Amino acid sequence: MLPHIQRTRKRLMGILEKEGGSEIGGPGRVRVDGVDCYYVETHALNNAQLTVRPGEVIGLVGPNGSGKTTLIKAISGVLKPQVGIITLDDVDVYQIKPKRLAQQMAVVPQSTDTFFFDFTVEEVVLMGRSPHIKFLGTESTNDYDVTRKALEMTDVAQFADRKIAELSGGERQRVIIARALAQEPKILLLDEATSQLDIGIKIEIFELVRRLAASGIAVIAAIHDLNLAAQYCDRLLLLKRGEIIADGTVEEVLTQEHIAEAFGVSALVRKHPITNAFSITLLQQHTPEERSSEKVHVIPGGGKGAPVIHALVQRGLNVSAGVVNTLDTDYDVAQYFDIECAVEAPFSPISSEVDSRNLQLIREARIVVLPNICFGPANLKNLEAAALAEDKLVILEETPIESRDFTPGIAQRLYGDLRERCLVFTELAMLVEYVASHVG
Amino acid sequence: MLAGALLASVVISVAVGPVWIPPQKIAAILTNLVVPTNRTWSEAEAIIVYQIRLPRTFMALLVGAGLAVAGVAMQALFKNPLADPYVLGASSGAGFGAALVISLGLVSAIFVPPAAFAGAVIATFTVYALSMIGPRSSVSLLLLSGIALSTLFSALISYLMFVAGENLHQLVFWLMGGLWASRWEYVEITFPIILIGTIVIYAYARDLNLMLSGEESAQHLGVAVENLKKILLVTVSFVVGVAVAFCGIIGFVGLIVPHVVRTFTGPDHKALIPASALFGGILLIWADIIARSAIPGSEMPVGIITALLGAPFFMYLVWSRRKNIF
Repeated sequence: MLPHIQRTRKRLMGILEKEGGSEIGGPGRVRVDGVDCYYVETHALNNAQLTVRPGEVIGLVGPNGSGKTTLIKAISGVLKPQVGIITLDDVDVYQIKPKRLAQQMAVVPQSTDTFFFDFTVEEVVLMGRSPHIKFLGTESTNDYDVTRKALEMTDVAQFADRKIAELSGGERQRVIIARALAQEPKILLLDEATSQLDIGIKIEIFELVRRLAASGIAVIAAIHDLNLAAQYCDRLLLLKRGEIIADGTVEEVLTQEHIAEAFGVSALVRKHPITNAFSITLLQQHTPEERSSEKVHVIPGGGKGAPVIHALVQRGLNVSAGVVNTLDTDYDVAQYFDIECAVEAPFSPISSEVDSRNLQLIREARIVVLPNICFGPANLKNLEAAALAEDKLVILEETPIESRDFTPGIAQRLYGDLRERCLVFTELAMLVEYVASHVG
Repeated sequence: MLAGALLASVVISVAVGPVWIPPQKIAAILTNLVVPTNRTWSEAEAIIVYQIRLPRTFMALLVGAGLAVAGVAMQALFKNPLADPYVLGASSGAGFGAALVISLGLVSAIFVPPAAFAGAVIATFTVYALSMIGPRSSVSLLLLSGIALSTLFSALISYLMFVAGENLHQLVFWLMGGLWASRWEYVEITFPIILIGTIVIYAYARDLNLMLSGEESAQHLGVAVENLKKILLVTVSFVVGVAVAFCGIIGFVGLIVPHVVRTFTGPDHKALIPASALFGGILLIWADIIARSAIPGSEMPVGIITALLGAPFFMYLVWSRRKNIF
């Protein structure tokens, strides 16, 4: 505890403590400084740092229990941090009266309580005006105008007179977002506000979020879906067990290393060739210790090995590959799964050195798989190596060899011989099934 | 409409009893208080109207209104349709206070109401203190502590009743609730407390609406939740305390009235609170009319009537709105 306290003291001294509420009306700049939150016994947030500027969309990502919601709660004024300070325009959030804070900051929770289901949509959205209405005061025409606008922005105006209970979950959540907008906040906090909605509505809502940000509202959103976060956030914070382990642009945060560290799984991170959007695919990966003791060798080429390697690794098998060129997709996949590999330089014929390394891997393997690859003079040695595997060889044949032979018939002849002597599968799934049942 | 019903109920309540006093006579007796009029009534009738039935009717009106409004506040605060004004142990606290002084032989009206009031307020505050987690109180802990404390006080009451002997009858009567002891002095104490309590709760009608969307959501919409809880708990404990002190434990009014009224007004507390106050008042006036005229020459504790009428009606309500009860 001692270092925490010292840290806080140092930070507190740096912050001019202003009388709460009197300075409201600033641009809406949120600062989270050295914040620790504890639930009864667990350390939910550790030394969180964050500065949010107006117009920024910040995504909080991380696995369940990583502290995303805790951070949102701490910022929104309902979970006072034990250590550190959260300020809004340089005033401690916990010194600001709830009503004043609600004029600046709105929160959309993950799900809504069912106890106010008898209210109409308009009544609920009008509730968003209450921080702007004086004690014992009544709604002004301006309050109704703002409410109407919020209903239209979230596309729920057509339900205005319906009861909340009659709406679907997605419509209901849009009403709650409308209520938050009716507060006319400078900061909008979304706590996995779209996690229960259909993808179409998610996108609609985040498009709206982008428009709000363009108008100067700062948005802090806890987002479960990494792709959604990558697509709509200017900045991401990656949390793991209460620690912010990465903070920066989407490119900086969503790396394979970070994702592996936070989620304990591997991910394929790619930029979509057309939209330039990030795409993250989480993969179940067995760590090398968990893989089978016996090995399977795959003879890849031209990207045809990748699906086979992927499928076999996913089954928990210990896979090796070779010979493969470094510019081949199959090489990327092999690298990604961190499997043993006989590698050759791009566009080069297989050297004898690499060939013998490959043969070594084939000897070590319990089963050797020959996928539906093409043959040319450069990789003919791979076919010869396959022949040496003899009865350990299984073939995946999706298209006839004639269409894949770019040698003057040599590959066809050799392949024909092999085909006679070993098992041939026409579907990957069946091949994987066979291999998995024969390798321990 | 409710106001008209209220006026009619008051008149009937004053007219009905072992001696029937026609409404014209009541009007004349009351007019005479302000402007002297021709005597068409006997002195006894004037005493019955002015010193017995009228304070009793007012007391029923006030206590019914107070309990109903307290029930509205508690149901919103706890977001629990089963919450009632006694949920924090006010009734058993008051019961214990009253039982304690009665068993000590201090049966007089000077001792019982203050003791009951103190018991109600102390019980409520104890429950609130027990429910604190750090700077906040937990709603579910409030409910559980309320149940625990009620059980404890009930056991103590049972013990006191067991050893009370001859005072037992009075204690039982008090615990079942009744309005027979109503006097103008009591009305004078009850009136300001329940009026102010109702006004305070009504002033927070908007906040109570927001509370229905959850404590955190309410705070995000600008409600100072912890303050609101304190204000409402103090207010409710005073309202319930004074009601219990003079009329004993009248059940069911605080539970069913908010539910019934909600079916007409909807969930908005700005309408729900005043309507509940009126309806609660009317209901208790009628329950009292039945309580004192059902068995000729005798009167029942009004709590029996409210429970007898309330429970089946409540069951009907639950059954007919079983899809969304709140």
